[in-house]
Amino acid sequence: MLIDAASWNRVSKLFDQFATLTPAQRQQQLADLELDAATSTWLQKLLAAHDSSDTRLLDQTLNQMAADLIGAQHADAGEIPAQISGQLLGHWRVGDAIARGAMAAVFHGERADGAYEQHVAIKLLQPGPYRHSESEQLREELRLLARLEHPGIARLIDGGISTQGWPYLVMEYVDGVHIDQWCAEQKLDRRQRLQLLLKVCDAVRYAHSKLVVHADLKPSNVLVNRDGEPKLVDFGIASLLREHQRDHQDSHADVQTGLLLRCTPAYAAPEQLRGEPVSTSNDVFGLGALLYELLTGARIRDGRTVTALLLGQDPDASIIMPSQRQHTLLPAGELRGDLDAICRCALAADPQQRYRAVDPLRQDLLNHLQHYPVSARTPAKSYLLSRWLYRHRLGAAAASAVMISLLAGLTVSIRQTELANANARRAQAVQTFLLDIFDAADPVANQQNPVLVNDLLRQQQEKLRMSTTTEPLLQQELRRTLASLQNNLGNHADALNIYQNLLAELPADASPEQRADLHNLIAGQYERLGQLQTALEHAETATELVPLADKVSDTSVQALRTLASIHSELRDNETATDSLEQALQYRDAILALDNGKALLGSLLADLSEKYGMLGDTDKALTTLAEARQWYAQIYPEMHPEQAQTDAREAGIQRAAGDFSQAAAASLRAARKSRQLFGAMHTQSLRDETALAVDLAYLKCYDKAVAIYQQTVARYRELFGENNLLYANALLNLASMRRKLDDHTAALEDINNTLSIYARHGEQATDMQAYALSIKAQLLFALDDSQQALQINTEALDLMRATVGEHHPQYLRVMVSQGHLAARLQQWELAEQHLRTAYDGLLQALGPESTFTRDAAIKLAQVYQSSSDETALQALLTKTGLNHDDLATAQASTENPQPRSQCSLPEPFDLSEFALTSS
Amino acid sequence: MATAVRLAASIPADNRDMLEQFPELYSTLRHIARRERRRNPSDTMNTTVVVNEAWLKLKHSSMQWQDEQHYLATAALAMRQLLVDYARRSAATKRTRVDDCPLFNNDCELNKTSSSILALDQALQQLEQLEPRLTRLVELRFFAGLTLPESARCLGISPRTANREWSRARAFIQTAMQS
Repeated sequence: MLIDAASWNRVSKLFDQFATLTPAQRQQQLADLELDAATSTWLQKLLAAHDSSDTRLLDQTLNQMAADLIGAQHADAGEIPAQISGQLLGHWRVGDAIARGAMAAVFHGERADGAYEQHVAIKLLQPGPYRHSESEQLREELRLLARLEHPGIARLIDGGISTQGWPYLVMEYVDGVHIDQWCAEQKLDRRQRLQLLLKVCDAVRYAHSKLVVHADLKPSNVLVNRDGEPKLVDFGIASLLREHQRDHQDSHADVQTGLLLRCTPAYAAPEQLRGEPVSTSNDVFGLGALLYELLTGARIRDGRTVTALLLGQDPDASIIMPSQRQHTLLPAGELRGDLDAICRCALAADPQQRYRAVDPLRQDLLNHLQHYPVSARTPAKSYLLSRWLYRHRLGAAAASAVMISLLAGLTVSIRQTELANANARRAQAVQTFLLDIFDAADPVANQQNPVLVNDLLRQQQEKLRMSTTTEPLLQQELRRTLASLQNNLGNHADALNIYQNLLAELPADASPEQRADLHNLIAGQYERLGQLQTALEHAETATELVPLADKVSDTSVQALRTLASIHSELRDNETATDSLEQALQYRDAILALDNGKALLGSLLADLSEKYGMLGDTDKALTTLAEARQWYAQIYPEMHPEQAQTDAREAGIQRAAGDFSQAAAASLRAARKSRQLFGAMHTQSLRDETALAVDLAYLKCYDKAVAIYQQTVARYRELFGENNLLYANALLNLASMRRKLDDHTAALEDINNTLSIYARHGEQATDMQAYALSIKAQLLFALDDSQQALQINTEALDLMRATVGEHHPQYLRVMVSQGHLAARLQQWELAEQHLRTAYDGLLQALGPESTFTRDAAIKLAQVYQSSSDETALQALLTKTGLNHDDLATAQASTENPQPRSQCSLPEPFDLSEFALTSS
Repeated sequence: MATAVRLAASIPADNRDMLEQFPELYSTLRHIARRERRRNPSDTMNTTVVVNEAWLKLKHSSMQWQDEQHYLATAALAMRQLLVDYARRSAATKRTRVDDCPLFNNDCELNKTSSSILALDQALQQLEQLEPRLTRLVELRFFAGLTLPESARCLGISPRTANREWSRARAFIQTAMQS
């Protein structure tokens, strides 16, 4: 039976009034009042309790109960004695005390069996409610903590429960002083303090990637050794204690009192004080509190606030910003602006308003030190999980660890989201699920037999599908996560499969937004798979479900972007441009959304691309510049979105034929991506591929080959040899080698590529067709025209099935087909192919196109060779070609021009991308 | 909330040592309580004496307490915490249901006590959401063993108000524990 505060307010006034009255008086007065049922019920109950002659608990004294409770704990472990020097705990011998607190004592310690010499710190915790059966569980958690191996974290070496019942932890001994003391002793200035804190951030970030939260960050838990290196102690101990405590609560949820002992009220995040489950967001707050103290010399909460907290009062009491304090260590001028904003964002009472992870906080500190704008100065807004994932799909640099970091980002974010929903059970389920992935993916554990990302994800997908215990909502979230991973890794068929199932399982009463969101995601996957008509249908469904005209929302804008992108793929850039321009009419409404600036920037960037394809380069570049202005307001220069903008600029310049500019922009994009994601990331590899394409246009084939060789090697390392991205990279390398006349090597690459495509079935049909057409060219160059013709026929058949008979790409392969037939003197077949191809190209690209012209010339040559003067004359009249044109073409086939020189603009430093030259 | 603010207002700002007081206080209370039990195993325990002895001990420790009222408010909370922890522990060791108890079984008495304390704690948590001051009042009076006038003084309210609020708190807790 619960009552809300407002009703209580009413009821309590009436109770005070009625309590002193006699039953008769009450009856009478009650009749005059018209009370609602709930108020009346409560009032009656309270009065009945008030009148009751039963013994009330509160009327007894506590004395007997206290005696019962405290005396009953015979079996309970005793307190830790002051001196236990010499005692054995597992393999360890306890030495002198280092420090004693109310809840724990720390001692020097050493290896008891003399197996090796090791000086450690042993932390004994006040006996908690541990029983023997639980020691295994405790050990399990300790193993999790022992996984933390980072120079900034004091390592957990061992632990368990002693025979006396004391839980103990054996940790690396750190000979150092508290970070605040260090800063004071060394008289560190602002920069030095921030740099020290950045190291702390790195350690915390690392721990989060291993699913461990510190939950009690404060100066006394950050020790700085003589070399000035900070080390975090007591990692995860706070949450370890809390987990166990929670297990014992049964139905008695403990809201505030239990927690006060487990964290330090002066530093704890408000939600931590409210008793919500531990989350990474607690540590963001803790880092904010550390920052604050290092800047001001004062704690975020003063004595009176903490007293209020201890008394269970409002923990959200606002924190005085550093520059507003009367006494600070640093001049207020240095604190105003950036540092105030960073503190405010890290210490926000609402976790939603806080930095979402350690990384953005760390980035802001870096930005501040490097004089870049900090993101905290524009207010943090809440994003959907998927958007968040989008930004954090990216990991770190370590080669073999790329998938770990990919997963880690996700892991932390999911766990955090779950915890933010105060759903501890779901968080637990997610953690278990993701830990499984970790264990399977751990490159150290699996050195003999490294698991490939793809296999891993499929395993998890299967596991999820089979699992009946996971809650439906959680299942969906995990599956979406997997799909987004699959997408990032280029496994679009897998991603599509997941999204389709999610759509099919959507309940009948799902909102149009939910439905549209999934249709939009499905459309995106079909688009990437090259099945454009199906993609179009889904994108149209999505936009019809959430018309922009009805409501401007993230979903409606994203759906429209997808639709435009598909139209563009279908070579209908006019329609694409139209819909994007229409969307821009809602500029104000878009800007009012949480991620309005980002959305508007993306719309403009999309639009600029379309202008580029329509040949309006100036307009494209102006629009892109506008997009950049919006991005500049929300993203630092080193941001994935900024890298993508550079890549788009390259695309526009490439379409305009300015390959030097394109290459320069591609180089910028590739540099950013590499710095942001590391070399072993698909985004970096994509950008480097684009750079190689531009270099090829600049005829710098050898440089392009050098880059492709690297991308090929990296894709192989990441995904193994049976992967489509690897195959595509190999195909690029092959076509580049062909340009360098290295036909044999190219053919070998192509054959490898084709066997991979063949294993992927329909998913790879379009790429397969393209590869076959290149293979035909190679065979032709190697003088095997017969086989070339055969292969080219295969290519044609496949292409007809995928892109259709009117697609320029198909028609160009058909030109090759005709050319090959002519080489084999199959005049009739040659004429037939070239005629069809010419007519088609004329219609698709117009008479001016080089491709149309090329088809016409080849057709004319066939008429010449087969001495069909009438047809030749008719063709020449129609095309405006003359005999000289034909002669020139003939000459250039017979005596190919020497390869042109690479025309790389200077200075153009590629050293970081093409280290190995072929 | 008003009370705590008033209570807190008597404390000079930025006394850093105060922050660690709660754990120390908790630990001291427990130490004294356990010692009392060992000394007089057959006796009941006077919790007021425990609280007072802790005050005498802590008053001269390195920790600085602003005044006795502040101490008492914190001690009452610590005492509540202490007993709830003990109750929880005993509930965890012995999970016999109260109804199953044969007569004259000490374990059952213990179980009744611990379930009462835990139920009280839960009722106090509900009350905390509605009227925090009533929770403080119950803590001071029941857990720290203060008289009503003493509790009133500690909370900075008149004895009459305290009396009225005590009736209300008691009726609420009775109701909440029955449901």
